[in-house]
Amino acid sequence: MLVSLNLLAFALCVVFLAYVAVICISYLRLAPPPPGEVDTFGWHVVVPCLDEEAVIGTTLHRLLAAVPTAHLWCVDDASSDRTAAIVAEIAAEDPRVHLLRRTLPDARQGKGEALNHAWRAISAWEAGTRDRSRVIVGVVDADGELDAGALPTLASDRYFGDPTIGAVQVAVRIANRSTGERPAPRTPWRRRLLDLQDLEFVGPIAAMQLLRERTGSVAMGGNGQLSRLSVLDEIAERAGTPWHGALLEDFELGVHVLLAGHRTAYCHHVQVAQEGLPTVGALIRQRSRWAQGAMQCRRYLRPVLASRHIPNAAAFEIAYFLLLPWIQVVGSIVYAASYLVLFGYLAGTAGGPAGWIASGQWGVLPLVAVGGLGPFVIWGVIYRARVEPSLTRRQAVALGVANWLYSALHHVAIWWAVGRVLTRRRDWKKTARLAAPAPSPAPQPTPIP
Amino acid sequence: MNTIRLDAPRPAGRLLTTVAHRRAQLAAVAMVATLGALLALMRSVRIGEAMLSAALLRLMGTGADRVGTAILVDTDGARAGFAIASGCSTALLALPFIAVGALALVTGRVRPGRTLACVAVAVGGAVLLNQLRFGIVGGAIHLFGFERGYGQSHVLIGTLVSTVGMVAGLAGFVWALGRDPRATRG
Repeated sequence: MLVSLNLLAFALCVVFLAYVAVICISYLRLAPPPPGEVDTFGWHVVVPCLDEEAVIGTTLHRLLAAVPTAHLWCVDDASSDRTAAIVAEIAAEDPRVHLLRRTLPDARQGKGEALNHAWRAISAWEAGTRDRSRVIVGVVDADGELDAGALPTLASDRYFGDPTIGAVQVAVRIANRSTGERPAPRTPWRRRLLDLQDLEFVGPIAAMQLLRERTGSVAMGGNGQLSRLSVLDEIAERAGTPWHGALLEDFELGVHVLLAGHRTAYCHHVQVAQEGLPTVGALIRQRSRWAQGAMQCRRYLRPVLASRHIPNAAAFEIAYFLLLPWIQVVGSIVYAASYLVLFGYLAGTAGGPAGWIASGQWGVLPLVAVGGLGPFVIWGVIYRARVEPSLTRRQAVALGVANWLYSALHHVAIWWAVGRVLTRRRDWKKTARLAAPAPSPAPQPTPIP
Repeated sequence: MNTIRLDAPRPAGRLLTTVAHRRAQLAAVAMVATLGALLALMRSVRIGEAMLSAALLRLMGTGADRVGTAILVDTDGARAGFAIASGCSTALLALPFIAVGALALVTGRVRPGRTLACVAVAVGGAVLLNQLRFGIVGGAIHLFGFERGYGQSHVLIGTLVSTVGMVAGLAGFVWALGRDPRATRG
């Protein structure tokens, strides 16, 4: 029994360490592309809204300044607050802003349906006007801030300037982190929680995406995804609509782009900032939704593995992602049991922990440090080196250690998701916005190396 | 939930032809059978590894011998050693490579010949890695005596060697499988 547990823990540890090592290499090899010609494309940004009165006004003003050549399409999904009224006021002043209203009972069917509504409106707007492969449709959350320098980079030959690229995902940052423009919470541990989310998005998640750049399996995210209109049309022709009903409708879109024979890309040099979640409960709920969404997407495993359009490395990476929630379920049991056994030995050996160490088992402790903490602590160090140089070395290591504790939340989230899958629950309560961000000038591009 | 119409996987949509895919599935079954045989013959594998390790240690000038699954080395005028436990056997280190290889074959995305070659290289690498680990432990016992040599090398250095080796091996193995040029953009 103990041998099996030991082996399983070792196997999971090897897989995890191999993955971390490979994504670290991808992350550290990054270089920015030369800018492209923005005016050769038509740009549309969709902002799905449900009860966003706290943030939508500021978001639209920021977007109008950040992407001056783009049309903004706000899909009000039957908000119960003043969201639609605020958008209508701005639309009356600026013709680039469009309000799309959805009403009950058709409204509130999920973000995917709201995005499909916008796609139909943009399709009609662009009908017969230009080459639809030169029309780019982006999605930015109602609390999102897109970089002012986004479009020239996105138009470059590495992204939409390359006709084989069907969709691009940009980097995500947490706007209300300690070093961000928006006010961070006063409570220190809440600030730390937001910093950890920022570290996660701009660290391991970005690194995973950069690895996927190499394998050809970049995933789309809910915020900061952009696609060619022609590709959305093609997906709709194959599968009814561009976006579908899984809780990870963004990931689904990326898979459909690949299945349709197009490439997806990740742009680390453009960022979209969004509000982080300041409480553990909200964070676990969000991660449970992601995990359940990935579980729902297992139906894509067979089409992905059977697709001629998707290269082997991409197919294997997507398969790994789709199986990841189940690997985490096993991992949460194995790792917990391994730590229990370790503590059992520490307590049960004659002489206690000192006796155990003296018996020649001291080598386990550096192994736990290197194999258990190392893959998490390293992101604190990389975060300081590449993103937040204002952190001291000590703060970076402390953030890395906190990142290890933060990772434990995923184990809780995964079991919540399993519970929801077993009870066949698919409904999710939308996360409430914190507060209206303080009005400020248009965001400037923050260089991410 | 929306009904999604995805193009059903057609026989021609497979990356290997039907015949080739059947061959790949047969190869996958053979690999799983090999895995079962390795686990069933675990003790024999451990004895073989102990024999090889003792021979390599002798080649390097360290007096060594094998008794059952144990490797004994000369130290301080006596012989001391360690037994290769089931958890330390190459049979188990080879398990992920054979399992991943079999799964890759079942998907029909890689050719059996390439997969078998990758698995063979990976398993060969696992054997060498394990021999390196046993060599380090045996060498440490020879140099520093059993108490200090085994205590310092077995858990920390031995596990580090096998972890680093397996991490590199698994990454290389998946990379090599993923480079099979069968899948091309249409």
